[in-house]
Amino acid sequence: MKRREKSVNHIAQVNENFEPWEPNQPIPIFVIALVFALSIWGALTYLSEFGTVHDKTGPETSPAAPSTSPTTEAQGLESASPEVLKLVYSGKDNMWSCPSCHGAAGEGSASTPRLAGQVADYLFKQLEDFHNGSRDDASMAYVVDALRVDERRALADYYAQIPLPSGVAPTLGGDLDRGQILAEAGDWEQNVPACFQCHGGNGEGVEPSFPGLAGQHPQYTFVQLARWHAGARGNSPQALMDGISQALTPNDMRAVADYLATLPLEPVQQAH
Amino acid sequence: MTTNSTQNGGPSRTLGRLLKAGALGLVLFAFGTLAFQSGIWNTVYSKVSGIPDTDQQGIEDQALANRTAMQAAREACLKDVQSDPPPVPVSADGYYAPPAESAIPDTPFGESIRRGRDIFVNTGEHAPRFVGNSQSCANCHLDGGRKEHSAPLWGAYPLYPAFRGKNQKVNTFQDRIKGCFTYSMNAQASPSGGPPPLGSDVYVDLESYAFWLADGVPTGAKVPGAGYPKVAKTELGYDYERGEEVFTANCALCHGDDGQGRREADGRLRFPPLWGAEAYNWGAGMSRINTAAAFIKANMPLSKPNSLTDQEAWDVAAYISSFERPKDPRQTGTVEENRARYHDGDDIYYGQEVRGKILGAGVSREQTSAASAQ
Repeated sequence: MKRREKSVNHIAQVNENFEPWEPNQPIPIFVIALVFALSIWGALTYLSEFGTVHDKTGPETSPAAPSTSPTTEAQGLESASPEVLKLVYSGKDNMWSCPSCHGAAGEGSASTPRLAGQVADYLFKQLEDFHNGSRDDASMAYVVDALRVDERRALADYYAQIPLPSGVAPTLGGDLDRGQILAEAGDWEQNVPACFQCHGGNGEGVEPSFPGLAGQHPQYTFVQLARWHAGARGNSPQALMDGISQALTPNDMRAVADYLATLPLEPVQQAH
Repeated sequence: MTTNSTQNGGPSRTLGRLLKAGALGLVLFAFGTLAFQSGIWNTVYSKVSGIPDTDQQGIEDQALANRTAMQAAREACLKDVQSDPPPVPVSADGYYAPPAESAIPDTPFGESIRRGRDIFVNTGEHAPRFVGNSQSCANCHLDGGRKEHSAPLWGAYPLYPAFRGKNQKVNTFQDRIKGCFTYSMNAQASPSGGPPPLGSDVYVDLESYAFWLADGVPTGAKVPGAGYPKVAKTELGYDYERGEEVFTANCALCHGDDGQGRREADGRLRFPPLWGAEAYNWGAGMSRINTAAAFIKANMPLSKPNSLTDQEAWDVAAYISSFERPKDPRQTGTVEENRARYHDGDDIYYGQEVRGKILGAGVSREQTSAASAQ
């Protein structure tokens, strides 16, 4: 009885004019517009930035599995004094060794650069630049700071004298035809000279300042171009690569990085 | 009851709302698509992101479309003389757009064009008998003679035959290239001992290449981008001592501190020498400081045109011109007489004293190798 009384009481309390639904508050039209605009922006950005990677002509190839390991293909892995070899393979004190990231023969991988056969003075300058901060890389700065200048020189010379055939292939899905044009002829409308104008007729590098590009991992090449493009790498002499990279579109960078990875690495006779 | 009526109207209202929202979405989508396709999107995106809006394919297509339009207009003109004359094909930046390298025809004439291009780009390898130094045509005519403000072939070809003060006669295009071999390639020191004789295949092929590049420039027309843009004289004038600093900061990276460029042990030339026995001789246009300053300002360092000030361009050109180079092949008497005859009033150190020595005696390969052997 009590219960019923209670419910009766509640019914009595019901406000006849009470509207149980929230009054209709339309979402402001500009918010809808914004949502649509943002989703369209997002979708189109996705399509234009990433979709093309998969449509472009470059075959989605993975690096060809080397038939032999870099250490058996490379020469001169032992051509250094015992001290230098110890530095290379064991690192200094508790510091990481070079091969722990750059591979047993300095072949590198993905965005870790190949060092084998690179221009000696170029390698040395990069070590100096990591040390003095003009090339920004926390890991390399950490490692290099533990080395004396003569040790840096010795390491650069050690890796420069290792001949090692190219073991890379395109991985970025870049347009190889466009990459070839950029490498061989350049795009002078954008003030982009041919890569080969300075980096050697086959991208093998030119002493003392121009590193070899052939045989380098396309990911590494692309990342470096992107870093110059974005102003994150600043140690190119006369800021030459800064300007050139800024003139390249992301697709151009992919194209040229991939094309350079198709080149055989011919042994160079450097002038002395 | 009021509540009831609201509930009855519910589904149709919801439907209406959905339809309206859908229509609005369609309108917005259409708007967005149009904005994207019109190119506004790319422009805004590149402004906001800082990634340059270089639709390269678009630029090339544009130049190509202009060339196609020219061909179409030519055909139309043949049929109807009253139709519009063919336009000059230009690229996005407004300069004449030469045909793409891939458009070289697969005909005997195309073969000649290709040989001409090869000679132009690597003269020492493809015309070795007539090159007496370490230079190629493309060293001073960048991008294989295509680049504007780098004395492009398409700027020069339509201007010949022409009377030239340099030799006081009407020169054909072959005469003009013969001059390049005589002075810029220092043909006197070449295996054949001189430039190719007129009528030589070397000239024929180079002429084919130049004609093909210039196909679209009206004969006789001086078009924008031809030659090197003159650099205004500065108050300070030029000074080779000031120029040394400019050279070290901007040029030595490739051309070396000694200005000798770089050649690998296997003979492949990487960067051209600027003075000495392997450079252009005292009769070459580039040995004049004003010409060198004009080339440098508009083209050097590669990828950074016009990055030097006028003053720096004059000074560094003076520095490069302040060293000995192969002798002027026109010289018969003394340097002084030759200066009076051929270099009077020029901006050139020829016959003048620099670092305590009169320049102009010339330097030969034999002298250089003898000096390095010692």
